[in-house]
Amino acid sequence: MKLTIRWSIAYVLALTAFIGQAQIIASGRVFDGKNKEPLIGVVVRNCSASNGAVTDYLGNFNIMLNNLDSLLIFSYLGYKTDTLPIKLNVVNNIFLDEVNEELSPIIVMASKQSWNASNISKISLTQSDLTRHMNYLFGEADVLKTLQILPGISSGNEGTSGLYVRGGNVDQNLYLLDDAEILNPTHLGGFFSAYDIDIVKSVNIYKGGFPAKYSGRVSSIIDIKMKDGDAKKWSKKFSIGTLASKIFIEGPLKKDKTTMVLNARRSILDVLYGGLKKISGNNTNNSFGVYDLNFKLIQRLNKTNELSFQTYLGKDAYNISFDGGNERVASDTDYNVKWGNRMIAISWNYIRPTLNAKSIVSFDDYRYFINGSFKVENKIDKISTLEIVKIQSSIKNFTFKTNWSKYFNQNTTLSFGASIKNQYTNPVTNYEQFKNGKSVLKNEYNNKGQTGLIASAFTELNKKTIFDLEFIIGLNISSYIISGNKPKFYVQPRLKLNKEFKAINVFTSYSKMAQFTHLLSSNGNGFPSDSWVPSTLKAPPSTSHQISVGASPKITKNIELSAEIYYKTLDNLIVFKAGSSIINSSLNWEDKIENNGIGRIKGLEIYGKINIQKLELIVSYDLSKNTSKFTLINEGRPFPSKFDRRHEIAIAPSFKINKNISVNALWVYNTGQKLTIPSYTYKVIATNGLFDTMDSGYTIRDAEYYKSINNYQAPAYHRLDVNLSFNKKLKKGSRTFNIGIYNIYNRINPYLLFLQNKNDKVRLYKFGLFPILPSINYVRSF
Amino acid sequence: MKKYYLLLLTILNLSCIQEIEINPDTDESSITSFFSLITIGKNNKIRVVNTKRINDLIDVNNGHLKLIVSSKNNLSVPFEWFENGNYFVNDTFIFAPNEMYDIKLYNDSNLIAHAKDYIPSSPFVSDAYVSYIIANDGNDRVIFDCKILDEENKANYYEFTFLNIQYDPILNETIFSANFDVSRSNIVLDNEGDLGNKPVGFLFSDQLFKDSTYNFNIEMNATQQNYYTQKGKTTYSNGNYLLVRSISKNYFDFNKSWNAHNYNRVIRNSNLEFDISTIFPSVPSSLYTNSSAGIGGIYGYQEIIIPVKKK
Repeated sequence: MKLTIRWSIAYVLALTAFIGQAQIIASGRVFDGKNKEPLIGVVVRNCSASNGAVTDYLGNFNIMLNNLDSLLIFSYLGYKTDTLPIKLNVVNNIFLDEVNEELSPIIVMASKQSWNASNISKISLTQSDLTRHMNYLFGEADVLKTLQILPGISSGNEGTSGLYVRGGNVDQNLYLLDDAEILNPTHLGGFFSAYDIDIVKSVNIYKGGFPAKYSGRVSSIIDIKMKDGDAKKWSKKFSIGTLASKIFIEGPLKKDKTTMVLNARRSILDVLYGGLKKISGNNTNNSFGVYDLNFKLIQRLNKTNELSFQTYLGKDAYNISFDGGNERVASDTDYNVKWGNRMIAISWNYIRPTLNAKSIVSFDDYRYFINGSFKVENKIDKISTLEIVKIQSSIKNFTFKTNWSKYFNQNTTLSFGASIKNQYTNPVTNYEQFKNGKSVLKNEYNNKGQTGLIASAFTELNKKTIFDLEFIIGLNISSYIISGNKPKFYVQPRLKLNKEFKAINVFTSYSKMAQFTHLLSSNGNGFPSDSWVPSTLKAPPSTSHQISVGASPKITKNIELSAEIYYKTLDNLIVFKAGSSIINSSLNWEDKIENNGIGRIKGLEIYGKINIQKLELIVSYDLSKNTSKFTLINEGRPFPSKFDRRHEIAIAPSFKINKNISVNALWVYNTGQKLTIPSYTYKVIATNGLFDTMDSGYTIRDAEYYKSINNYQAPAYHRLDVNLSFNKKLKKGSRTFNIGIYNIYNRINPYLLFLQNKNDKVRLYKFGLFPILPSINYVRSF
Repeated sequence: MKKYYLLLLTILNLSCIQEIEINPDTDESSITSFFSLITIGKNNKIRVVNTKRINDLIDVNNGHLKLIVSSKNNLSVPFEWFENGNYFVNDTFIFAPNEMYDIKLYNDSNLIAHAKDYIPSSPFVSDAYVSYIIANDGNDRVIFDCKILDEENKANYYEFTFLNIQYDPILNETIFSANFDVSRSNIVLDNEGDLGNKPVGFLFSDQLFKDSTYNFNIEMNATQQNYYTQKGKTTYSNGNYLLVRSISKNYFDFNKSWNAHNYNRVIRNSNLEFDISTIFPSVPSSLYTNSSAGIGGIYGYQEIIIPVKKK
């Protein structure tokens, strides 16, 4: 505690020393002139000086003037550049009009900001960036899938959900939608997410150099801003694709005052599948079902105050069934997984000249449920064994947070804020065994739910000094309280430096982050079976330290190139003990884990973007090494993590054939995942006391010897997807027709890897979910 | 449209299973060691074991190796090679409780592996009873009770097996069956935490009843899980028995690791493509060893078999 106070005092003193005197400052918001949607990333320049500013997620800007009659130039991709006078001491509302001509595919920004965008640790994407490289799987475009083009962001196995960012696990990413958390925004094993392209205004991905306002996850922040809705007129869109159909509506409930956005989707796969089974007579039971709904309502009270209400509902369910066996034994496996998120939030935006604030109250609820039944029947002895496993995991968060930002001058901005979160976690596992229909064993590992309280406060200073050195220094202090225990404080300093030279921009950052939940995953080679558990005294919060250094040379305006090296440490990781899994013990989860695990990740990321007339090409490469270490696993020696992928490559070209037709493609290559296979086998005398007691000789059994954990590298993951879009403007609105082919060369990428003994020979098998998959999608907007 | 449906159905139903050639990094030379359970009053045998790469043919021909057992009170005595990697100890060597034995394996004069363990004192268990009930769910259950008198001033370890012995005069064979199917555990077994690995014998330490008498009580499903037949009649009359072993710490650790190892094998049964442990696998683990070679070892125990009376 003393250390925390010392840190805080030292930091505040440092801030006051750096904050300069207030000067003449103009403030405002920039909107789309047509629909009054705030515009993010508009470049604002002072005509009579060299300084500039960029609008934030609310369209806000602050700029320093050198005289009272200054004119400001506003420029933004796809909009007419405008030069306007500005008033002092009020929030100026600026409206930009779209240009009518066909837009250039090149994303044009003011030169200074363009180089900042090349910082790999933080990548900002607008809706047009995402649309350009949208990857259509089953005809459904998705934001999170598209993010995997970026270096250091990859998916796990095919069909598994979540993102692995710079070697972090899938639970180490904080997903925010307009500042409200959605714990697991993925649908259908990660093939698409809660973030439909139509609702997304912008995406900021932080992989390092985290702003001080963020806390609660150790590997990445994915901050998504949702559209506010057209303030002038109603527009509607519906689409139907191979995977889902949806409806999107936005418009003014009261012109310029009250707007809304509604997006609702439902998978049609289960409907199609039911029909298909009837047509074909196929008796397979595989099925998938998804729905989600996003709704946002904005009430602009006046120029200063804005209220918004937002909700997200989403649910997934899938079932996989397998039949197996031979003339002696029959097996029947039925595996059902359901998960869903609910989120509701009310926020207040306060916009004053030089002072912005956002306060939000939100509730989010995540539930994950597995119901597996495994039946084995011995046809000769007529004995059937049925095992039923039920795993449930739920997290409920009730959060209040308030973030403030004060603009002092063009070189100095101060942010500060606080949050408090009540987090309830309840992991439950049930196991029951039946023999010939009678229940013979029932274990309920019903862990009591735990409530934790997380309180955070932060402050951050963004300061530009002479010689164009920009530094951002921040401090986040979080405390975690488990009921009945004293609070524990986590001091998380943040530092980021950018220096712009004539030919190159260099940047470096350091961040410490803390996380107050864990995802308890099996480290074995199996189906994804995750259970969220709270941080406890035995499984304390995870922390990470990350340092990165990067550079972005200024080549030409059509070529962006950036490279960054990073080193990340993770502490207090947890994993199941060797020999333990989510179901195979009557112990509480805390007694089945290895704690105090350490992760070490280092890597090099390279990102390039080239625009040549109608072609835009993104190339990213990630070279990394990812190891874990637990005292009682692998004899305490470090071992490669499951997704220790040495090389990750993504190549994403996008070509506009004419004003109506465009084609894009994506080729990804990842080094294969690691798995554990026996190094040797040998014979042991079976230790079944029965046989030995009767002195009948001895029973010899095979045993396996594992030289190390994750000692085998599976074949690489790679695939090529191609998508063709046909757009046409109609008298009323437009229509788009997308045709896509996923995995065009039919690579079987593993969902599951397993060793099996067949005919006295052990073989490794990979089970893939998705071979070559064509898809279609039709979108009509009016 | 129907064609499109059928195409989609085909895609969704493709069970894309492909075989991959295994090429694990196991090119170093094989490990040679030995494995034995040693006790008193039996012809203790020891098996020399070699590791082999998966899918290699087994080749056990260790007749040229020399095994020597030694203790404080006995001279060093060589084991005699029997066949197929198995050795027997010379009759002149008498094993005794609470004495440390050191077994060494030589190839010519080079020591390849050695391990030490002792045979604990005989266990003290009394008042073993069985009662039969019909549980609320309608299933038959068996309740076993007994008293364990824990030997004082030392850490003790136990292994229990519940036996039923029946002689079949028609076939002239004795059937030994064992029940491992627990329906209600007790605090001692729960504390060990490995019932989920479906062990074939109950292993526990005296951690929760040190130096005192413990009433061991367990409820089991009335099923037979494992059986063995032996020709002819044995000295045991028909009925229920409790096989109790006092075991060394090495035996305890080895058997616990065997239970986890056996349950969490990464090589699946050829009959079942997906079973429960494929879906929920754990981190695979190697077996505990007290051998310097890294596999195998020697593990001491002493056992008694007591009849279990009907309550």
